[in-house]
Amino acid sequence: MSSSPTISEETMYVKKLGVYYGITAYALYPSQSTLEDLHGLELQSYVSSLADWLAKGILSSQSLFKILTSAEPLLSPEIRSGTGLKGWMSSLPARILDDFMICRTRAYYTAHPELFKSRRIVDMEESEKRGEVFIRRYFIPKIRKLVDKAVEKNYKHEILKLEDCNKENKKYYLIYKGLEKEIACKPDMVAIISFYGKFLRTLVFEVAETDTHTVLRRKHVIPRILLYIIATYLHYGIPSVGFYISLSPKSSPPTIVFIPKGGKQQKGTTRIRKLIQILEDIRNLVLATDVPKPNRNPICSHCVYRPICKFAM
Amino acid sequence: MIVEKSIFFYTSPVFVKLSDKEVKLRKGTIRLRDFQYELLKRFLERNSLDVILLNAPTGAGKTLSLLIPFLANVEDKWMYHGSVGIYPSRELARDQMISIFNLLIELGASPVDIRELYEDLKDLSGDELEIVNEYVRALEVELDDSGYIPVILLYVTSESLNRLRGVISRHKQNITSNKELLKYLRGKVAGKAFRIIFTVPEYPYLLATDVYQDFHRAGIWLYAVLKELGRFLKTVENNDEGSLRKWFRELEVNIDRKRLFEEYYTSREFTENLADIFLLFRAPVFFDEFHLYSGFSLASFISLLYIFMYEKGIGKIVISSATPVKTILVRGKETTKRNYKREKRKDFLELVRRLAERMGYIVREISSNTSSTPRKDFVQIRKKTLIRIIPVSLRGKYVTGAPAFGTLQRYVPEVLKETDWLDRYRRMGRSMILVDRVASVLEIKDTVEKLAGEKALPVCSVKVLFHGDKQQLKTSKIGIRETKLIVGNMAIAFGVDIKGMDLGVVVAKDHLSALQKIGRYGRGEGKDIAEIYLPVPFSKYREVEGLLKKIEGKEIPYNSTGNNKRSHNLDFVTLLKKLYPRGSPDVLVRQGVGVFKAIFPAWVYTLTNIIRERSEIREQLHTAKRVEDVKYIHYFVVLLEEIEKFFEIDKLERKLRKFMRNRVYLTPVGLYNLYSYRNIAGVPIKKYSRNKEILEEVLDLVTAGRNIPLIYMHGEFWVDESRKPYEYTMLWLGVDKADIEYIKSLLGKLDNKILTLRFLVEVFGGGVHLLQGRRKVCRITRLLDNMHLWNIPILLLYAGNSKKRRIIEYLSAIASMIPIYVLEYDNEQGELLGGIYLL
Repeated sequence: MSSSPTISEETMYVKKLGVYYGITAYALYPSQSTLEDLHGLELQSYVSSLADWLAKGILSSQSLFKILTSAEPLLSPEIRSGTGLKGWMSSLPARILDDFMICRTRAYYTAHPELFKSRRIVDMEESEKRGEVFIRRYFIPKIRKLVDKAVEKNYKHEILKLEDCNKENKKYYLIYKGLEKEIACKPDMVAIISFYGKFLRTLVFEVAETDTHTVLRRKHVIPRILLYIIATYLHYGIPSVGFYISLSPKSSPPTIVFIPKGGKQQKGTTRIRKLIQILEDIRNLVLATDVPKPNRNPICSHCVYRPICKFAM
Repeated sequence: MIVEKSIFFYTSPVFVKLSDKEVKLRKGTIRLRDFQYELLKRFLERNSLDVILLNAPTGAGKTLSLLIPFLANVEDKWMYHGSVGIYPSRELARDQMISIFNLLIELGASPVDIRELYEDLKDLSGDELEIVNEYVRALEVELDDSGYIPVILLYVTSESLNRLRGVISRHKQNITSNKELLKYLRGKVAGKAFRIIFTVPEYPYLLATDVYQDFHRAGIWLYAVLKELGRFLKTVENNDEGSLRKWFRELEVNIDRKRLFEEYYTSREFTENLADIFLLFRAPVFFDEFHLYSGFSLASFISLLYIFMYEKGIGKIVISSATPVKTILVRGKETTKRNYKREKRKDFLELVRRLAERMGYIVREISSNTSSTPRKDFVQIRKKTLIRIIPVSLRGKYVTGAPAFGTLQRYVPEVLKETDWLDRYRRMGRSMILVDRVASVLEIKDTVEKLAGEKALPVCSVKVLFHGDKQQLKTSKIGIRETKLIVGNMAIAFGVDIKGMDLGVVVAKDHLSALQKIGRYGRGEGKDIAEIYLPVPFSKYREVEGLLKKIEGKEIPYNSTGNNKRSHNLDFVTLLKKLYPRGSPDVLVRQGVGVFKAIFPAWVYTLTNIIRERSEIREQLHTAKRVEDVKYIHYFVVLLEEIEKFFEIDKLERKLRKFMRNRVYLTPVGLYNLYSYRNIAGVPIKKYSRNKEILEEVLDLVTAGRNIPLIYMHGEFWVDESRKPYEYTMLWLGVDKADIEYIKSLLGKLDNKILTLRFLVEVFGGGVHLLQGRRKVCRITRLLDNMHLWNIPILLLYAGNSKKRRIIEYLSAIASMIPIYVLEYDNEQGELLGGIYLL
């Protein structure tokens, strides 16, 4: 007699990928049965099934629970909590870190919104929109539905707060030593969860179409996720972990989780030394008066500053 | 008439025994009291390590104890460089500085102009000198044989340092922070003289543990140390040599010069710098008025005591108290199979004694020898006092016991009107009325001003808001010493010495605070009689009426001395115990947070010193096999053991580690706030003065909420000027009916966790309101506009059972707890859901 699937059946598997920018990345894989369900789906169904799998995994996966226990606050004396009271002209979007990772010149333009205006790129906006839609239409309703069924399903983890940051325009501000402007962090979603009633964790979600393999290879999103982890921790006081969710059906794994934690190789500030270096460079860009040259071959075709950039190719 | 017929009796004067010891200075001689001489004898044994528990009644001369190290120097040889007086309030520290200054002048010391003494300060203007003199006094004491001893009195609090920095930085360009100022004071000002420091516990506490720095950085340092504590506790818990050696090796690597900053965000230079400033406090320590410490500050006291005891160069630690015991409640070990834990009352000083003995100190108890009759070699310290017991019929709801004593202070205006207090005041010329609440102070002040037709001085925690800066200056202790009419609360009852204050009205909530307040009157010598009115609820009066009738018109001894037995065999202190509710034992210190606050600072101190003495300790760690082999770690384990024994906690290491891991969720600034010696849930509260200037004062939110009508505008609290300036009320959180289940479920999930207020407000959402009495102040989500509130650590309690409900109600009445109720129709309180304790 075959038993019906229960919550104790693992929906999510975890595999350690390595240390990126000082924090440990883990791949989140679906179980074999879930993987079969995800195969060959058209995009909309895939996205819906992805949300379903992820929601169930977060609320029930033992493997995920185990790696989340080791998450610690990510601290640096140079980075402190901001107020967000100065207004948008005095703040920089956290996306400037992505810009910096791609092209220094692009980051310079982003650092001076009073001087340079970006153009609209429709497919980039639509891509962002798809991320927002995933959170709003699929992911949050799935989690809510599961939480409502929590009693009958005997889930042990409980949601304390779910924040759709795009819908509610929720930002978390940071101050970096010597940088006059505050950095405004706006992840796609933030969830605060009580795991087994024992400990609390803040989960920070960033959703995009780029597959996880590319994210790990090019590393252009990772510093921003790191910054989100710090910003949410300094806001709530609860250790944060970052999730990158790829909406690409070809992405394997579909999701990566970034966990700041101790260990022999990851002591104190060495963990985020690279991030500090990036912030230091951004500070110099804010102070700079001349437009810097790109540091490597930039991707100008998708650059929002292409029409005004003198180095555009 | 609410006041019934009063009963009066007398308490005999109090005399304290003099010793035959006289210390001679060139211009004066001081004859020591019996207990002071005992103390001096201990101090003359420089090499013995002593913790001295000094028990003497108010006015017996405990203040002079601070001069004992100086007198020991005079008697024998130069042994002590100074003494440090630690007081539970800034007001008391300042008052004691004035008392010691006056005492030294009486002994023939000559005041010295600071400008002549220090080259750097020679250009101070007259105004600047006045400010400096408020906090730094210099004297020269001429000895009997030859030469002078320069003596410096230093008042160290945040207020004094800020004002001193303002002045001194004009003449010394490099002093831009309080840390630099302290370094300057240590090196230049107090360097060569005998220094007497008057301070509050916070300063030595923060300096000894490297936490005297920017809040964010300090919080990060504390987090790193907390993490190390977790690792150490796990090692101790494993209880095997292998784990211990592994941890020793890891620590050895972590404190390597190259790794230090990466691991702990500090450096040896920084640690050495603060240790250098801490030298200012490295002198015999006097914890004065120990009985006034309570709650979590009692837990912090243990850590601070541990730090001072570890600094063996200090040698002598004196803990003086007007009461011989400090009762606290501990849970006790499980006694039956049903995990029932019996609560026990214990004397907190038992922990002090045991810890001191384990750390190599000899614990000595010194008490004053008193008499109620004049005898040879006794000196009078208290006058004969007429006590009038005023029975008061409380209106409205029938209340008895402790709540009746809380309500009683609202009847003081009627007591003043319906008794002959005004005639007595006109005859005696001075009077002081002591109550508990700020609102009562202000209400009674209005009443006495109308009755007496003259201005009264209110003394309580609210200063600037009601009177502006001028009043703040006036309430300095010189002002209090001169004022004819004073209305105050415990802020003035904290040991402040007002000579010639012989008429008073005292309302107290328990016998200990009654004793403390009564101790302010009738001090000193003289045949005149002090008079104190003691209003008591009629219900209580009826209980003790028989006893009072027996002593009506008679004289009873002030306290039982054993040498002055009367026929009725009742002394005043014993009578107070019958007349007032018994002081509740402290329940907070035994909580998880209390135990954490008793242990964590000691660990921070341990690691600070390990870092400072890195080279030596690394060698020890390399070969160590047991905790005893490593300096600093050894005694920290002793502290753990003693706390485990005293609080009767099984597996303390495990419980503490779990507490830190699963119950503390704070930002770095939040952790810094939790670490503080006392809770600091202070918010700025504003008001327009008569000249339309904005007055601002940082007040404890809960205290302000209980006494001042508040409104919340544009992210700031303001005094509601459309109402009376004082109110008998309280702050509470009201939950909309639609949100009850949601909030209950949240409270259940977050029960007993320590969180930041900002987090709590965000998860509670818009269905919860802040109310004061039956008036809505704002939705709590609007509190997010006030940055001062973001990082206040709170302990969340869920009223899940009747015991928890009782605790929340009790703490809401006496401590920094804001209860959470269901918001009923017309803003009434419904079911109690929980409470938030502002830590």
